Amino acid sequence: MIELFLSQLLNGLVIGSVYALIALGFSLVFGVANLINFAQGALLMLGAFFAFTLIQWGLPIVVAGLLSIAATAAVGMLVERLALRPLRNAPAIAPLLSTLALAVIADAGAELIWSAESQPFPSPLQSFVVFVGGAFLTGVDIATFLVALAVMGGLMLFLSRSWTGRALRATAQDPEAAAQMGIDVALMRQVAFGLAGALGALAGILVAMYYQSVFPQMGVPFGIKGFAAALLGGLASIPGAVLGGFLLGIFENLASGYVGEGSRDLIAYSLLLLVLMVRPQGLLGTGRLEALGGVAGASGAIPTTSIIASLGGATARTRNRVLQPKPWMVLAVIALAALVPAIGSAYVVQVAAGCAVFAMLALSLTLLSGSAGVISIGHAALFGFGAYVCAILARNHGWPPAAILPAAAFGTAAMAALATLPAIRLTGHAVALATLAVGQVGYLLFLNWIELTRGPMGIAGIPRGSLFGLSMQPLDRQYWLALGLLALCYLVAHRLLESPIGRTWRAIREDRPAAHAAGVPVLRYLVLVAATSGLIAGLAGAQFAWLQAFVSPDSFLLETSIVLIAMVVLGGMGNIAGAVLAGVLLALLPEALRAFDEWRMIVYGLVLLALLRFRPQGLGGVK
Amino acid sequence: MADPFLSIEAIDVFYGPVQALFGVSVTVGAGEVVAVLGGNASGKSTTVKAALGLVQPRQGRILLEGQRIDGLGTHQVIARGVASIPEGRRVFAEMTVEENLRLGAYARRGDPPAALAAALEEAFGLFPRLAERRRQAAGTLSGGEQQMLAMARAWMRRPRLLCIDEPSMGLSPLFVDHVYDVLARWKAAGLTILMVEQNANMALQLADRAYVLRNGAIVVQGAAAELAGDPELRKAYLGG
Repeated sequence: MIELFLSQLLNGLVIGSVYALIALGFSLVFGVANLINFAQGALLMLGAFFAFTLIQWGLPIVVAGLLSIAATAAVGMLVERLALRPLRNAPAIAPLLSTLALAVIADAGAELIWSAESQPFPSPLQSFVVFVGGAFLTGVDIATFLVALAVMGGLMLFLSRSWTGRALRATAQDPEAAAQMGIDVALMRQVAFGLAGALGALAGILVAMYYQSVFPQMGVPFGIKGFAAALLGGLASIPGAVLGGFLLGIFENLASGYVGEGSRDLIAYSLLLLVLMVRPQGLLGTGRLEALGGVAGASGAIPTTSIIASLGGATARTRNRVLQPKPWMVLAVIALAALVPAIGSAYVVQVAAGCAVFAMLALSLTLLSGSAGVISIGHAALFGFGAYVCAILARNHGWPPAAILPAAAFGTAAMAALATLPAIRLTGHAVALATLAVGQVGYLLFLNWIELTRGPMGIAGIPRGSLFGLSMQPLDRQYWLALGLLALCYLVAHRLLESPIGRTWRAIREDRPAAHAAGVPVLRYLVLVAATSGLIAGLAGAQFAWLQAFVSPDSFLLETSIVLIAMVVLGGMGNIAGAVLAGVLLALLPEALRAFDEWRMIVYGLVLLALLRFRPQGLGGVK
Repeated sequence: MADPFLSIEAIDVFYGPVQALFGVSVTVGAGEVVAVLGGNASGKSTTVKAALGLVQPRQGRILLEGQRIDGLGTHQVIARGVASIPEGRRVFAEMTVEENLRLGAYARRGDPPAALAAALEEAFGLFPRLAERRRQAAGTLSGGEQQMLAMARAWMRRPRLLCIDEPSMGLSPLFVDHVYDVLARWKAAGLTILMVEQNANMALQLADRAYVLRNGAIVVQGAAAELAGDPELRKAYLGG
């Protein structure tokens, strides 16, 4: 027994030290640039691959590692140049999405250059083994732990003793005051990104040595873990990042040792959610004065609670022409779209039906994230919930669509209200994290609750049944049902947003403390918007299940949530017509880009980047 | 007044579509203390921010010792021998008093460590209260102590021009007197100062010359002693 405990504890310390390195990268950038850098995972992956290539060229592993760290630091600075600097006056969410776009490009680029397959990474110390009591450590474990510890110590010294380190901390606390000390604030942001790149590369190399392999998809899971560790410790706190990394590593290893390997991530994210609910500022977030981010990064991080305010704190000064068609115009367009089966092939109808589903999802999320300002990076879980409700009721219990639709709608609404509860008291970046954790927990349940969901195999052969005596088997009818539901949801959303309820949602988004002070029952309104959003997402999920006749966890990955939030931003926060438009466009884009073949995701990322750069207020404008 | 140390020449400043300054010109001679006065939203803070490079003028130019500094970043202006005591003090709340002071000397980071250590001790000599709280986080100081810290921090720069935005804001009368005592000593030592102040009576006792702004334009300027009784000054504050 004690052997298992000791061995999992030691493993946890080793992997935790890697998490801590990744978390430090997040924390540095978050403190100085007030931005969650979603490209951190991509930096980790690139660092591992740079080292891999250099070793293939015949360089010794230490030299290759150092060169890779330097190269990745340069890539980190490039991220700042491309994702942050051009977007200083854009809404606060825009740079975050633009780092996501860069991550997409990096992942796809790595697959092109190095192939999507896993490749062996040399790990010279693996055969060296030390026994500690009943547990053992390999040379790689020891090297990882010692290198990580040394780097953390060095970083602490650098931040507290050197001119540049102190300037970094000053910039994190108050950039304008820092500038008046003579500190080049823009340079400090670049330094922070460079350091994040270097830390990411180091973590990547250690991970590659640990698993003795490199593969392009390695960035995402470690990026998320590092992010979770950073938040666990308090996003802007440097000691917090270290503590968070170690705690996360130890907890998930104990969980996998005692409960089973499948529960590793589930426990990690549940722990994260728990911390967010009890201590939203993270373990060392506030009250600890040596924290890096301080006042600016304590909890909300965005000076106002408004997500459409720019990073500078002022509301976006870019001109905001708002697309707001009359409802009948949107209905007329939907009616026109109903003619697609008459002119297009089955493939075209299938694509069009997919567009309708994503339009509903974008509509659903723009109510929650756009109008009410609760940024969600976990919406795919609600979409999946609706899809699984439909799949299980239709296939296992033979329910007809007329019963499934309300079950999926109201079931998901209730689920959404429940799932949003942990996030509801939070503001700013913490909300994004809580919803991310909820989304991951949802995905992991789809994946691991095998008795109910059949796990990774998914549920196939979902019958479409018949609605009001009409067989829903033909694709055209499914498509029309999807359009009908979209039209209905659009009208409901429009009515809600034009009513005092919609105005209250926007008021909460703009200034939550003011809404509280004005006597608005904020929590009730947020539960209402979450439920409404969930209702529409549930309908979209059911529709999706019928269309595909198959559901599996792969459809509800983090990537789906990211695409959905991208639709909301591109449509213009809170602009339902814009959301529908962006939903259709982004659902069409991968199809339209099929000609680019393996370059597809790169082009997709570039298009996203360009849109954020040149129209950060969205296609439809913020409403 | 042949060769002013700082010369702001007919600048227009905009915040988005809103114009904040209309052709404002201010000069500060070497060794002179110049006050910019005015009521709320008169543009007085914007004037100092333009000199510091925190906002950029759309028209006009700004010269420091005959060299153009408009268009430079704030850190570049500071590098030319300027220090700033920002509005609302803006101390680095989570750093210690000593770290704040060291950051004040950031522009002098090339100087020998012994010189910086000596400057630190001088600063503590100037403000004994700060010496007692040397290892304390700046955010735990009282408002008055924070103002002392902001002043000491700017002094660490060894500036040739000191820009001050509202030194008396939010301070008790006792601390206001203390602040002005220190400023008077610095003036006597020959420091060139550009200050913005709501408290016109205090500022006019210290300053050599003053400008009065209203709605983003200068309405009256002249020697401090003459301005004290000027009806335009009253109008600028009462909005008449």
